[in-house]
This record gives sequence, C-alpha cells and structure tokens, in this order.
Amino acid sequence: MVIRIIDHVQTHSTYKDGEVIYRLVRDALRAGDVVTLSFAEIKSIPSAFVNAALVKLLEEFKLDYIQSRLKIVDSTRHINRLIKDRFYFAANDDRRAAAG
Amino acid sequence: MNPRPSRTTRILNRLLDRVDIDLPRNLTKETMQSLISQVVDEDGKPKWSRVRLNLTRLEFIDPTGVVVLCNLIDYLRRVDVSVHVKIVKPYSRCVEYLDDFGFFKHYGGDSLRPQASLRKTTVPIERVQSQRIFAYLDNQLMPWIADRVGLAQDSIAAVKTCFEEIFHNIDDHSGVQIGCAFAQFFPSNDHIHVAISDYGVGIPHVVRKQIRGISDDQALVKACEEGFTTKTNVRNRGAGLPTLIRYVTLRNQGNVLLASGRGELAATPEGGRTRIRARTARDGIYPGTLVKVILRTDTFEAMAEDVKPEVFQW
Repeated sequence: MVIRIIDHVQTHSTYKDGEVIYRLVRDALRAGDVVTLSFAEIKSIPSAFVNAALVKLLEEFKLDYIQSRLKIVDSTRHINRLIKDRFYFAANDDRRAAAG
Repeated sequence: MNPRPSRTTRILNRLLDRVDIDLPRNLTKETMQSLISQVVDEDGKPKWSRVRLNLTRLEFIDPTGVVVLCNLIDYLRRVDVSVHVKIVKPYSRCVEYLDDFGFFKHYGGDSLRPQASLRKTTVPIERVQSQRIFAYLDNQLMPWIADRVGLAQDSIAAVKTCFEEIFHNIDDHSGVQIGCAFAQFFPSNDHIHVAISDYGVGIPHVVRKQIRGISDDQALVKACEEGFTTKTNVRNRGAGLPTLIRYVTLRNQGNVLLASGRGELAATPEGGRTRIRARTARDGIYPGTLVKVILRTDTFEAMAEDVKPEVFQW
C-alpha cells in the first residue's frame, strides 16, 4: 500500500496533520500490509508531524515490526534523520520507562 | 540611568494613574526586562491605566527590542491601558528605523515621514496567529531569508521547519496562540536575527505543573531536554525546542536564546556539541516567552544539502 502524504493533508507540519497520516498507516499495519510512505514534494517536516504520524505507532507496534513493514520513500536527509532520531529516542525512552 | 521624575510629577502621575517611561538608549534583550518591569507587575498585570513611552532617548533597538516593544504595546492595549508614544523632531536614526518598518503606521495610522519605506535588511513586524503561520513563513519570512542568502526557498526548507517548531511551541504552551515576529539581516557579520515572542503564560509556569518548585532558569533547561513533556505538550513528546536547538546550533552554527519568566537560556555551538547555559534574569521578568534565533548565513549552502533526496534506511 502506497500512502503519498500530500494526497491526504494540505500542510505537513502540525500534530493534527500527522494524525491524519497516522490513522492511514496504523490501519494498514493492523491489516498486516507493507506500507510505503511517500514524502514526495516535501523537503522538511517538524517534530510534531513525525511524532503524530509515525512515532505514535510505537504505542501499538514494536519497533522491529514497524521497521519490517514501513518503507519511507522520496524523502530527504533532513526528514530521514528526524524520523530515525525520534523513533530511536522514543523506543529507548519506552524501554527506560518499562525498566522503571 | 534615567533621570528620576520630579516629586511633583510623581505625585501627579500617581493621582492620574499614569506614568512616563523613558525607553533606554539601547533596547535589546539585556534591557527589555527593566522596561517591562516599569509597566507590568510580577503577575503580568499592568501597573498603570495610562502609559506614555518616551522614545526620545532611544538610539538603538534590535529585533528582540522590536518584538518586546510591540508585544508590550499590544498587551497594554488589550487590557485597556491607554498608550501614547513621545517622539521629537528631528527624528533620531532609531525612530526613522522604526518608521521604515511600519511601526508608526501600524500604531498611529500613518508613517512619520513620506519617504518611509521598508529596508532590505528587515521584514515588517508581524503578529502571527496560529492559523496564519504558513502564510507568514511561505510568503514573507522565508522568501526574505532566501533573498538574503541567495538560495531558492526550497533549499532552506529545513530552516523554515525551525520556525514552525517555535510557532507550534507557542500554540501548545502559551495559551494565546499569537506570536509577534520580526527579523533583521546584519550585513556587518552576515547574521540574520529572528525574534519571535508571545505574552502567554511562559515556559516556567507550564514546567512547574510537572515539577513543582523548579526555578525559572532550570525550567527553561528542562523544557529544552529531549523527551521532557509537560501535560500540555505531551502530544509532541517534548521534541520541539530540542529539535530547534539541535538544528540551529549544530547545522547552522547559530544560537538560540530564550527568555521566559525570570529565566534566560542560551544554546550555542561548542566543539561539535550544543552548550546550554541558563541564568536568572537580572532586571525582572519576561511575561511570556521570547525566542531569538541568530542564523549564520555562511552555512546555508551546506544546510541546503539536508533537503536533497536521500534513500531512507532504518
């Protein structure tokens, strides 16, 4: 399943924008699909969008499951770095929280 | 030092519930609190019902001073305080500078001088409401920055994202959903200063909901820690300010300065890392939050690489 972000949101900045994408990705992952998320025509995104659209998936799915099912395409270095930073920080944070 | 008003003037002012405030010679981050504290009390309430701001001694005002002055006037008007401004002819260069970016036109309805016009080194002051963030960034601030650094607007998209982080922060925390923004290019050192401020509840107030008793300066440090979330910003997992600071200091080699309540914080690059220093403001409080970003224009070309395509790998 291919999800082109610009087909679903007018801006790709706020938490609300991210939530629109989150629901699409979450539903596809729940169905066991492989999701290709396209950042076509997007150069950069703020943390609120990444947190809402993607990092929130960690509340329902394990990181390795997300990594195996979610493909990021048409992205830039800035987008890639932010996604990875936010995911790894949140995943470690959740582990720290679980360890008490 | 400002000359102390005569005893008669002070008594008269008290009776009439009015005050004359002499603006300092230099209105900057260093002097803003002393100005504010003469007009607004520690709870953020106005001290007077009539205020006259005397601009005759003002010789220099930087972008921080501009947003502070405009925020102060906007705030006083909002709470029904009568605000007047005193200026004298011949106008000082600083008053001409204010006139050129539209200060008097905005507050008085007309420019002071017929030849007043926007300088290439400034953008007009803007009150940015949350629903207008993108229009302001896309149509005003970013084209102006792109022009100053000679790059396409697309190439500096990551810089735009930095400002989005600031405006989202205002939206999430301040309770006012409106920020005042101003920017100036300094050709002498090729720096761009962007000051964005709100007169909301301030970062320390929000952090103290989570950590009771924390000082204002340490509350700012906490707000800049990755992963620190308050009840109001849990949605963003405490990433906005850290992301802004990391990008500006490490990729642009620029600085981020914060002032809120009695706290001040400076984030600067040092040996490939970000150095955070916080202190208690010396001259009073800042009722709300001020974010000043100092960008180096000589690193923009390298930053343009950040928005080029790259294959994603986990």
